[in-house]
Amino acid sequence: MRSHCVGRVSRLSVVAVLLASAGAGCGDDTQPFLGEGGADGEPLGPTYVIDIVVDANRNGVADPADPADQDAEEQWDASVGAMFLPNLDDDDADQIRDADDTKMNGGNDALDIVAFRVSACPECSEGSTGKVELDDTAAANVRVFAHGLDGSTWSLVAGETGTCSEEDPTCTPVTAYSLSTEQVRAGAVLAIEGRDVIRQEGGWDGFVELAYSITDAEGTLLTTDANPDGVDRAKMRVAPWLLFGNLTDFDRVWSSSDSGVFVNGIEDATDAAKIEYERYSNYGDQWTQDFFQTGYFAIPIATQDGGVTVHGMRVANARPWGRSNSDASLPIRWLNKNYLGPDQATLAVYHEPHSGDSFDSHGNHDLIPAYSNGGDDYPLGRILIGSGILDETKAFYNAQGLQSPYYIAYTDWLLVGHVDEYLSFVPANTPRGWKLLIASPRMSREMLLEAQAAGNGAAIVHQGKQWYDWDTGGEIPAAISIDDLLANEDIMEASQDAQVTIDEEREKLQAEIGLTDDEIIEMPFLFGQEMYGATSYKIAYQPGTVNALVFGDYIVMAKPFGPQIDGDDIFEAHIREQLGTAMNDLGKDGQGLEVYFTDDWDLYHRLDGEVHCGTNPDASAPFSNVNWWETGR
Amino acid sequence: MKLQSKIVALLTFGVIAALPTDAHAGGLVVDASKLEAKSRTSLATEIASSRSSLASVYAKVRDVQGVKPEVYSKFRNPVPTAGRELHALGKDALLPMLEVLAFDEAQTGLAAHEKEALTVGMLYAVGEIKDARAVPVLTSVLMSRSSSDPVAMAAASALGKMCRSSDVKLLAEQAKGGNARELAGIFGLGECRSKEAADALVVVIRSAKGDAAVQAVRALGNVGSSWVWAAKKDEGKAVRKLASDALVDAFAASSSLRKEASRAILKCDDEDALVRIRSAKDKASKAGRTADVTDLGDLEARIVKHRARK
Repeated sequence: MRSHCVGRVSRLSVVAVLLASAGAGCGDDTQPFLGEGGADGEPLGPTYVIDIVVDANRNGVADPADPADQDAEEQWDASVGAMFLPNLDDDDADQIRDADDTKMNGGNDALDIVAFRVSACPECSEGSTGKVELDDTAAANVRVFAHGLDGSTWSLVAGETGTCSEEDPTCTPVTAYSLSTEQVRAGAVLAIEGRDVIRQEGGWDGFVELAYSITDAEGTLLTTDANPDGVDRAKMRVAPWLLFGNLTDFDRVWSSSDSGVFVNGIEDATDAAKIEYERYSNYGDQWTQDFFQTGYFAIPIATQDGGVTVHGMRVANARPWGRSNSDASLPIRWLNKNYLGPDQATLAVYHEPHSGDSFDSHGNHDLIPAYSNGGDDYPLGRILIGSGILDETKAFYNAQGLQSPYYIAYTDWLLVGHVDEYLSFVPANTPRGWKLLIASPRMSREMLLEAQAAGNGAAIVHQGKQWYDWDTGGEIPAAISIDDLLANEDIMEASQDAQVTIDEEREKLQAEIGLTDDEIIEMPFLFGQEMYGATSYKIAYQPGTVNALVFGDYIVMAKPFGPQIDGDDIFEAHIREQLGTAMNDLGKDGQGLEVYFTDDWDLYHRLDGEVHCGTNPDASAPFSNVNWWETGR
Repeated sequence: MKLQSKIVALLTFGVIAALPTDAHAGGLVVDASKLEAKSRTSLATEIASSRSSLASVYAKVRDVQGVKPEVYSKFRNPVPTAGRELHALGKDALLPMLEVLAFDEAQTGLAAHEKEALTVGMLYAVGEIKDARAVPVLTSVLMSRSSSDPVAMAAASALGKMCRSSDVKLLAEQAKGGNARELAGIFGLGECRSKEAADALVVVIRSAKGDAAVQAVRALGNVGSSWVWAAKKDEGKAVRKLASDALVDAFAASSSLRKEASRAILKCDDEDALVRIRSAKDKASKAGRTADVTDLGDLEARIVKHRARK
């Protein structure tokens, strides 16, 4: 605190404190305090400065002369409090996360490391030494660098000083850094990076408690009237991991390049939206949504013109398992080679590689967009998960404290078991700003019954598509007439079962969020079932259009291959009307979304997934229109 | 995988001591030599005579792709499955599947969970064809001591789909409390849309405890499923009402059955359900059972909402 930062050593018994000038590093208070021995107004003895400064006012600079930094350096709330990033990207392109080595990396790594300062104490005597300390828990989770007095080099001085990585697990946490007399007198610039994220409640809470003290040549702790215990303290908080959601302003989409027809459909939409489309062909997993999850870390930093902007990195959180038992198939391996880069971080939350199951695929982990209901307020949205999911993942979600507690929509009735098989969210020009899309076998059946009643029972569903033609193709046609489909007892049984469960989950979700029926749009498709063990699990029989990729006012979903009646696919027409017109006030202007269909049948639908499963969007800074640090959470 | 671990859990609740032991060296799950001679000979003859005309179907049934690791590893949930793949082959697949089940295993070298997935999926697909020629094999699987619980349940399900009086009687016998195949019998009855099956399940609901009672409620909801009756082009009004009435009674009588009974009542979609629920609510009110009144009121509201959505 500014009022604590300077003073006379108490052992001189004469207290004469001169609040330092900006040059002395202690704010703008220029009124000297006159001690008892200074009847003539002259201060007695040297003036000492015991001051550590962080960017408490969030303007991107830890400024000793700024009272807003000094006054709030031990606080953390919606208005004030310093923060730093987990430095898990790779600015020097060595395919090692910057926090996993013991150096300050090149490129723009400096932007990912947050400076704090020790103010100069020019009147400190020869032999005085300073000490910056941090708490034990934090020390294991951060690295602290000190800038050389010559202004040219950074040295790792505290926090974790070993590599302490998977490759080299030697860990050497250091909780204190000693400053030389020269440094004490001149002041010092230090910097901090996070090595990790907050993992669980009861573990590291993300805060770093900093303490600065000075000892004279005789080993006596200097104290002042303002700092009677001889210690100046400050607090910093690591940026939490935050999950992107469908209302994020995405600027890039990932998918496998394996299906040309699928890629073409996605590309049409990304081109129209003028966002990047990243395709990969070097990983045998087309379920891009599932093997990693996109989120971000963010903090405010200063701009060159003196302003403040949001800086951070997008983060790919890896699923614990790959599609074979080899470590080479693990998603984190692929991500570290193909995703990791400047402002692109990677993360693994799981404890054991190859652990978990389908529930741990990230299509089973989503975000309900921002909402308030009663006393509950989720300005950054709320994490939505399905059944299952490793305990450490759930603990991680709740420990972030921003988009939690997570909400569970049950998915253990589904063959794949993911929330994205029946729930999605789209932007709307309504007070809430979004609407829920929900799977509706009921609506599909009613549409088919209506078509049948109108004399179109012979119209074909899934015209030209094939089931499971792995080797020869075309020998197990999926085409089926409306009459035959409605007479299929197995599909009807599965679909009604699914509908009853969907209705249950819908009612729970409505009560939790306060959603009205007008804020829910039913997406028509029937469910089938597969008996596995002693249970019949449900799976989309028609392409699951709710399982859609959403970016901005664009939505891309599976081509439904519904029956053509009067020249139109009645399912496409229905969805275009519901989502692509002003009927439901969708899109930022309420005039509807830009609706795209892509043929996902061969590589996705018949392998039990759809468009959302096969894509993954992410975003760059500023990541969100709500700054997490302003939420008070 | 969670789905796999569920199988392990199911293996623990079966009581199979009372069942005869028989090996099935020839078929995937049955040894044809254990079949009654007439059935065995008849099946063998039909299989032999259809082999050339259905050569491509035989080839596909004998080489199911969805249980091969290199194939199912591409599924979104990479677990082996066979049911939909085999069901998609249509009725022509019946004899090839019976051959694999009882005479010639065909796909060897599968891991245990892959083999079980193949068996369960094949039994499911056989049931979908609803051809009585499968009954001897299905009965043998159901009654075999060596059938795992999931396999027995799949066989029972297939028998339920046959839905002949003799099949219902067999399943109802198994569904009696304490029987080794109690849950399989209940499960199978749920696949038969008939008054006889509904009656049998109502009896089970009145006497069963714990998981068996919950399963019976679920099965009765299946029997009364309005969407399935519509698919059969039969309103099934009498059976749906019978089922719905029994389910409302079960809902009113037992709080442990309410979640499942609520779902089952919705599936039956009987037009008189609200009347019976209100009657039950009045009785509960007069008896001062306030918690029951609340639950019945919630059920009533749910049905009203459900009907409004239609």
